[in-house]
Amino acid sequence: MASVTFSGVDKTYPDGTRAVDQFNLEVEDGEFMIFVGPSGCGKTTALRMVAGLEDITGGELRIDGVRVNDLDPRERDVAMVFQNYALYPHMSVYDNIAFPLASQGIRKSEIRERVTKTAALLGLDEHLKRRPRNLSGGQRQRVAMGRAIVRQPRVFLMDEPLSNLDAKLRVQMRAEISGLQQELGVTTIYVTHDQVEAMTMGDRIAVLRKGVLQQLGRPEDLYDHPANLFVATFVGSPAMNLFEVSPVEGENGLELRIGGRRIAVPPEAPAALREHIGRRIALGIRPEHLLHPRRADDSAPRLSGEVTLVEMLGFERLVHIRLRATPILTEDVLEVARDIDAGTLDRAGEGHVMAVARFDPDVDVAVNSTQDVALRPEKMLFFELESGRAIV
Amino acid sequence: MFLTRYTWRTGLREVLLLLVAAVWWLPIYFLAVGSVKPNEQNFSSPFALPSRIDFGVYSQAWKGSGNGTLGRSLESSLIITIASIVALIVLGSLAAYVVARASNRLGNGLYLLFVLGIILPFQLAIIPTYSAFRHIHLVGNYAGMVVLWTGLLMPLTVFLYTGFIRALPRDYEEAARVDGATRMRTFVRVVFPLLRPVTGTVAILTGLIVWNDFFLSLVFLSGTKNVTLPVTVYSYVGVYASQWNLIFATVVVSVVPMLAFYLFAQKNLIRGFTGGIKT
Repeated sequence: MASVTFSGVDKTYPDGTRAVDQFNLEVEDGEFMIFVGPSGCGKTTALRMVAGLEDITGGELRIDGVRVNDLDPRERDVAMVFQNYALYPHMSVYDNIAFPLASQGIRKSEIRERVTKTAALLGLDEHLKRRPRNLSGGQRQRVAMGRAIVRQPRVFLMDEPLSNLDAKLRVQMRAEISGLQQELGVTTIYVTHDQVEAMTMGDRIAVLRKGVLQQLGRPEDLYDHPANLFVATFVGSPAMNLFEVSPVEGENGLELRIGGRRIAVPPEAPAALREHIGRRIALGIRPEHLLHPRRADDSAPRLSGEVTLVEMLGFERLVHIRLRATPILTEDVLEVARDIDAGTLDRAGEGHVMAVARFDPDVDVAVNSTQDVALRPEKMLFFELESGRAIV
Repeated sequence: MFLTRYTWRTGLREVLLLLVAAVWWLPIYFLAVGSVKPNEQNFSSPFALPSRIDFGVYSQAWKGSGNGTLGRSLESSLIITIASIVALIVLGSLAAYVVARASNRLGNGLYLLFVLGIILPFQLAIIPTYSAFRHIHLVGNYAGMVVLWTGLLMPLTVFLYTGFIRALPRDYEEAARVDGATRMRTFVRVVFPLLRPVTGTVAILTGLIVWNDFFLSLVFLSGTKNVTLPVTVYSYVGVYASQWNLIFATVVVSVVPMLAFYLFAQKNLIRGFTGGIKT
């Protein structure tokens, strides 16, 4: 086990593309770290730099305090699970798992012992003689895991290992990988573009965008206190609702002007909001913090709009409401929308925001009806429009 | 649901294809039948089936004409062909791996250099090559022929291997490197086994060229006991001009190994051309 430290790490390709820019991060010993971000954000490049498969153009990368910039992959004692598993097609499952051990020149008897033990751990005992092409997606995934853990490396690297699996298997394997990591306690860096995977699996999450680290923190930190509009929209599904608002001085203190209405600024709102009086800023609120009026305090600020769609998920009801407000269409938001949900762009029109509220399943809401929603005051988040930074 | 129904068109197509196949098989029929029928029947009724089957001519052909025996020539052809194929596969796959995986500019430059080697006719350089080979004692022996063939067919080999390797995902090699394998171990244990289809193609194509060659064997080996089958067969034509059954027998002996090898490896040959790895 080991720590992995990125100190000002850069990756610039010969054509000038900057894949990773001044990346600073410390993955602690035994930690499960997630790199998450949209396509092309540099997360896989950062991972491949740890593996030694990508040259580092600037900065320093250390494993357990030792600089590894110029070390060959095999000298780093790390194991990697590839997106498409990269199982050697001409070898049996046994030989695939044994390969890293044989490469280290370990005795055959010990190899047999360790492969058997690993196969038992992953439920692969019966498949040891089969070729990868005769295995199911989940079994191949397990073989790839087996090949990584059999070596007992200092660091596990996983590059979107679940992206080729169907939804159900993905949920199952997600739990298996988390369990395995906890059991083995090996430092792990896991790359994904799926924020649900990121939220459920990691001890900490690093959100990247265009090669730049946007925020690093525990899943709940990212969810409750996103550092900027990009993280706010990227983390959480359905995405955070965003409205353009403008703080103004009212009769009873600070108020927010939103789509022709005014709502009181809750006392929990950051004091820095005063510095933005008269300016346009973004108000963010998560779907579960848009409450049905019956479940909210009378004092909670309310908005009203037309219900366009109701999605019943059994344990909750997602209610899409067209609210009269100005949508936020800054580059931060658009990039996430383009990468994750192109529909967001179609639905956002002039003068209205398609908000999503997460209601209890027993609350009955009819499509095309007018629906009031209450905002949980203490959960309102504010962001500068130009820089996208959170106002705290 | 019938996706393919047998209609009169299908039948017609089958008859046509059988006719084409018959045309292709005709020379082989002549060879095989002509070698076992009495010699005079080859002149009186060349198309007829043999009135009497006689394998005796094979033993006569085996004994030889005095200049070189069929057995010895078969041995020479086998040694030269197999050794050349092995050398081409070992060196060619390694060279192609470097060419295919080198940085873009270097890789393309090297690749072009090899492709140029396919286009240029080697006959242009036959005299200086012969003279150089004589100086280093590579004329008249197997080693010389193997060196010569390895050099001549290396461009074709590298061309075939490079195309295949470039289409091979790098993930396998990267996985092997992270798994702690050296470059050489990565090549030997991971990359080379994945090249099996194209290795079959290389073996058959180069094997056919070397096996069938007459010219280089005549230039570099004539007058020695190491001459290959085509030269021996040709010498038989001179000596036994009237004994066509004997000549046919020598040709059958020279064709059979290649035919057997092709039948054995044809699946790989086709896969090598069409490319692709099944994962």
